Amino acid sequence: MDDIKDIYDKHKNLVYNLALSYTANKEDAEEITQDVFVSVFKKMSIFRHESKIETWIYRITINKSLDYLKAKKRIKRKFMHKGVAIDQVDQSEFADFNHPGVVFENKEKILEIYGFINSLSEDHRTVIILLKIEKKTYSDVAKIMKISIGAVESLFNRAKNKLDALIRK
Amino acid sequence: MKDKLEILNTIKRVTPPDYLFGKILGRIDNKIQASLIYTCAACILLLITCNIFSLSYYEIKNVGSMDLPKMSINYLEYE
Repeated sequence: MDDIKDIYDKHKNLVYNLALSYTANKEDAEEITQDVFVSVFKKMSIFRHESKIETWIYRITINKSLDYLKAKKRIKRKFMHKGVAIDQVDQSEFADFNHPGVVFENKEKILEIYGFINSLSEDHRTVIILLKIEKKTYSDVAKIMKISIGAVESLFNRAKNKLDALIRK
Repeated sequence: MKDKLEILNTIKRVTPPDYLFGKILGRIDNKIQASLIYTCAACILLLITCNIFSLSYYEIKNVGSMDLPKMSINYLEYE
């Protein structure tokens, strides 16, 4: 029990803020945080300590966040496909933008950027979030994503170019 | 583009609400309870299956050793 509490206290901010970076919604981030820690405590016995526990938790959080967003998108599409409540389903991914870390004055601009980031592929989105929002180093990102530093650099450059093209449109 | 991304630096780090840990513990407990219920259900099902098998085996054994010799050949033919 103490172990569980220790692990939670040590990593709760990391998990919650990363989930917020993906979803930009408080309720969704809380849901993902719960999923992540339930998964961490369940898989703790099979964790092989090949990487740092923090890196492992980062990976779980990224996967859970992406899965959560995919499931959310699926539900939205289902609603739209059935023609039920089409007017209530907002096409924008961040219609329910509720990021507690964003000050009101910057909300509009950040919402716009989030919209662009969200239209990128999963890898591009992850690299932008880890480098630009989480402020991780290239080496950390390489470990988290299980790729080389060179691959992170090229992934980031491609993501930046795509974002640039989207912003200019 | 660079300027546009700079605004991401203004996002503040936040701490999750205190009730979240309780919710996580609740979910872990629920999972344990669910697995316990499934194990119990599986045990009961196994016992019932064993019972059915042993009963049917007993019946076959009884028919083979006691009932057949009592029946006449004629009875079996005209039935």
